[in-house]
Amino acid sequence: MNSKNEILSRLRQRGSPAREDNAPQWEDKDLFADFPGPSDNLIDIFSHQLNKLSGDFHLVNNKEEMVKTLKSLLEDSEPEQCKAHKSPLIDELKMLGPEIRDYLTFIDGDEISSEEFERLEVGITGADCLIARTGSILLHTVSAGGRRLSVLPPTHIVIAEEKQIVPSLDEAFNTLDHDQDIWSYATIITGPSRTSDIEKQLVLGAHGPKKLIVLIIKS
Amino acid sequence: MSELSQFLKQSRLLSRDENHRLKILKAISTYDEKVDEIKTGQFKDWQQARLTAAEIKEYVLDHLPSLLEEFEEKISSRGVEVLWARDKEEAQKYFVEIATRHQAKKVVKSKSMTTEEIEFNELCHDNGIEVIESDLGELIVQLADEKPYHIVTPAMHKSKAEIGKLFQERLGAPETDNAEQLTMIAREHLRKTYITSDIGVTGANFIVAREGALVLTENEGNGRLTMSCPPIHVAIVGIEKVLPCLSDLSLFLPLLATSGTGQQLTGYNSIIRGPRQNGESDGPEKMYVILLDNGRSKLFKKDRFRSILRCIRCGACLNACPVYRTVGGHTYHTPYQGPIGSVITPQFRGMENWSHLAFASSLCAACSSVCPVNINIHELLLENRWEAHQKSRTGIAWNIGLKFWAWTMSGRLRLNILSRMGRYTYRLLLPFLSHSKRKRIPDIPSKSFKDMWKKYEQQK
Ligand code: SF4
Repeated sequence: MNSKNEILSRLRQRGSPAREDNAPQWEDKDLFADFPGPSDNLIDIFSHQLNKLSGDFHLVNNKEEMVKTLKSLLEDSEPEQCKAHKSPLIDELKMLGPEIRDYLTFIDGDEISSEEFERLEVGITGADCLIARTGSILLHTVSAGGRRLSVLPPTHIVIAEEKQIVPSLDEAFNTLDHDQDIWSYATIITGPSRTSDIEKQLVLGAHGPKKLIVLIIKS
Repeated sequence: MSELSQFLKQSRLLSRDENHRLKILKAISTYDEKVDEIKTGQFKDWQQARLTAAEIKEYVLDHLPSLLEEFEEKISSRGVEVLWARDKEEAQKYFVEIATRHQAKKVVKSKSMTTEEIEFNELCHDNGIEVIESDLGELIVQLADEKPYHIVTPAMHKSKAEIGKLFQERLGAPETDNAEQLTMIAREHLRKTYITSDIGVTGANFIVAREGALVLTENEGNGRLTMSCPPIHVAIVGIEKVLPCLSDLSLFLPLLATSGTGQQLTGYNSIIRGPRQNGESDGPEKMYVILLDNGRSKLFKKDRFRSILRCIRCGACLNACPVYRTVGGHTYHTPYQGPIGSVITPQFRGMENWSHLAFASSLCAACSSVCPVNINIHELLLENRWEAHQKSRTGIAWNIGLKFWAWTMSGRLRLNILSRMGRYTYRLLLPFLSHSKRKRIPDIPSKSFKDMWKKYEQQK
């Protein structure tokens, strides 16, 4: 018998019979004390949570303002050290703001060597959705330019729209379910990279981004 | 030295080491504070949450074979090779084959308890493969030539100053005992490793059946880099880690983060469904999943023990355990320490050498009261004691002694006579019993509880 069958057959021999035929169901709103209420403003909750986690939050009224904010954020870096994920929103920002165009060159993993990638300072990506309750960002390889752009550069900038904010995790997983078959990797980011491995003292920027900046356009 | 004598020797040493105990106490009290705050801040009803989680895990255990097959079918449709390993040796064999096939010389690894279980680092060393731990805590214990002290916080026993000295000696780093600087030294040291390694090795916190995915939880980003940069990704995962579907994560991720580190959600929770797919801009070319049994299915067959397979390895029972806090993680001499280790180690590795762990407990049930999946850990420790007793051929004297004790206890008069005799004998022997530095033997009070009770009743 091969190993798989041997293991499975052991798991099938059991004393007591199976009990439940359906896994229990629940909703986040019944489970979590901090689930946003109907009168709560999701942007406020999201920004509050993100700030608590030492992430930076910027809310802008329109795309022109977004260009201005990006410019001020990127000013101190060299354009060659910044790369962006290809998305319709970033395309539009490039049209609107020629002065930041060079900072937003698109990335394709095959065109850049690992060494060059490792030297990048800023990665700019979109997101699938933002989770208000926990101040998290959910993104996957298709919505955010692969795996490395959001983790290898020391600064990660996320560009999103207000309507992408969902109250809690359950809804975030529902959005993921919709585009079942395109991505190989997704991640829920909650704050910049951190560690407490040394005497339980919190230090930011352990291996991933030291800085996490989220820019949101009002819908 | 037998496992038992090494346990006794180590615990005698460490329980008297004030410096060591202070370090552990400090770490665990920081943890306790954070956990209390998050538990009440995040959950409406923690008890209800852990009961729901336990129910989901019970459902999983009831359907484990079909859920595992569902997982395999889904994830292999995206080009992942799934390998089933009966035991440590088979898992090791698979890995060596993979490494040979891809001519791997250098491996970067993120924190994983299953790799500890199969002695992965020793395996690589024996096969001439360099392996680098990327989790900060794991890197520290690797540089110190030690084993992890705790399943969640491996370097809990090291002070800043000790780590500073270690980095100075092993990495040639400048002298410092500043946690931030030390973290940056590790960051610089490891950065190039991600892009120069041939294989990235990880564990996984969950296997998701319906969507065919693995989930990895971490704070530092080393796991994400390990799964993103090297051309090959190998994940080694215990077969009990299953959840039915992705949406179950909306309970299990906050639950694990709360009990594991006192966070609402861990910094990065990654969902991996395969290697780089068509149209993606990067990611590994090939991915392997090694599903590790190594004793789990045998445990599964024992009805009374099955609930321990709900465990999500959060480490809460270690932190709560008065024995762990006193004797420390290394004393257990196993990859899994504390109450969870004391339940599964004798089961996985045999009663002969490991039954003493089941006795290294006060049965206070602190572990059971904190467990996020509501396992009655202390009862399983008792089960282990029972099994150990069944297996051991205890001496005749012991058996007669116990029978005599049972006889005495079952009659009031017998008990009265014998306890009085006991009091006198104890008094007589007291001067000869050793008064050591760490233990003071109390004198016998002039009145027994029984006498005091009688008086109390009369005065009422
Ligand atoms: S037994 Fe429970 S408390 Fe202990 S590690 Fe497992 S899940 Fe956590």
